[in-house]
Amino acid sequence: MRARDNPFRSERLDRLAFRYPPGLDRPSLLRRLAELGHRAAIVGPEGSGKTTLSRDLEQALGGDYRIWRVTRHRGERRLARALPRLGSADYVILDGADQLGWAEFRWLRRRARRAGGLLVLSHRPGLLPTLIVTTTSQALLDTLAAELAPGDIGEPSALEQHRGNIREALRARYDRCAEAAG
Amino acid sequence: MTALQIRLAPASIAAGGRLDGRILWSLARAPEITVRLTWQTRGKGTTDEGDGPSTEIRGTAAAGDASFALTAPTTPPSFSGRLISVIWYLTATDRVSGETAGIEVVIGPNGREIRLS
Amino acid sequence: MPDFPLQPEISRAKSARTFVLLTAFWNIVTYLVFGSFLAAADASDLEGWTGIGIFAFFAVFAVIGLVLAVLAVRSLVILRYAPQPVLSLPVATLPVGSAANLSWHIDGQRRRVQSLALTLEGMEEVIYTSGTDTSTDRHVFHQLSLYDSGAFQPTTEGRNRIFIPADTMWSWSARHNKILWQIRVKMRLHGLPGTDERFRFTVVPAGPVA
Repeated sequence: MRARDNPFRSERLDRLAFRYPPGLDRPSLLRRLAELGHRAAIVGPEGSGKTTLSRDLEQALGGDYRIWRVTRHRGERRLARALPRLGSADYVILDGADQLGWAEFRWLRRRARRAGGLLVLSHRPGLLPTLIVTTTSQALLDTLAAELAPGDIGEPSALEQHRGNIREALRARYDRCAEAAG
Repeated sequence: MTALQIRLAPASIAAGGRLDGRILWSLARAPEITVRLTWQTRGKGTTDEGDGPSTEIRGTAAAGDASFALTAPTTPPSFSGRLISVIWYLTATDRVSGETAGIEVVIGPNGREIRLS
Repeated sequence: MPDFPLQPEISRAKSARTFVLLTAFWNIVTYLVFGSFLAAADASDLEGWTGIGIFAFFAVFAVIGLVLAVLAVRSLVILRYAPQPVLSLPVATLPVGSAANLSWHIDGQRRRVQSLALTLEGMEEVIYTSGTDTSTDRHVFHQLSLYDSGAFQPTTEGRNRIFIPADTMWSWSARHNKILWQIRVKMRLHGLPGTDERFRFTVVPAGPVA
């Protein structure tokens, strides 16, 4: 199987839409974000869809704000993108907030104090009021995998094998697909 | 007819070879079209992309056609392995109307995609 | 005829330096923090389950420090005592569809070499992000055994013909996607840890046909 034909290739994983839990959708989440004064955190374990959800919210927020997406990768010492002076028309989305030290996070909050909003993505609660806690399940993994590759039969305990990380489980299917096709 | 069309003969070319084609258009106003070769990766890794050569076509009427020629780059060629594919595209973009058209092009030794086992 | 030496992907000296510095930093910080804590704590703070918990917490850091120390010692031993493969090609780059003689020999304590294998590999390498983590994955798409001593006493110098197929992909690099060519040298050593090193070289497109 050619890389371009693998249904679990990167750009397809990146285009997966966030699956809102029952009773919740983008408008209701945006309302809650507004109630929290646009200072909030998306909390959840690795591979649970925090980045995917933030991109979905960014689409809506981008109509009213100029979005600054900042990522702190594991092992990096500085923020991937330095922030300019921010105003009420600006909105900061910080991915990897819990990789920042206490002083650095305080610096960022001060920097963004005049911004229209600050949304952080974190594995643990406590940095800002929690907007939503993202979770994973085997059923969700099966749904996403079926969307990418209808008819692909996955392993029943795949999510458990990947410690609840849906993204890792989907990447593992890339390899399975490639091997199965030869 | 769609607003912008690309006709290539053939749609596969040897690296370094000449790519001849025609752009056909039916628009509200005379266009200013950029015809460009670009490549993208597909596969397990994060997508990379790059630009190849380009040329400009300035139309004199709202509907018409014009020929173009580009020299296909030598690298990267179109290739596919287990983790990486590189795909070339020929795109035509009209700056006046915003219309675009695109078509895949195979650029490689003897006009074929390189397959890695 | 000029010789173009191939460099290992990771030099032994750099590897040893990295492990030694990391080990020193980790163990010094652990010692200072634990030592400061012990100096400040009363005996009553360390009694019962509280004391066990505190020691267990620091034990984790101590175990990591020990593992790092073992790796540092290993890399220093390899740097100082392990025989070193030396590889060279007669050309700086090799076009697809061509061949060249790879010259190689083992420097240092050659008598330690129990087995030796040289393999030509063409490899895809990709980088992808999963959230805030960055991962690398590799796949060998072309593999050719150049020399394998098997169960016999290996020779410690030689010359082997490298063939690069005509219908394959040359060396190419983008930010997250790469095609690499390398000679992989694996040695089992008597009395020392084995080594597995990669020597990269550049394959280029075939030249124009006259």
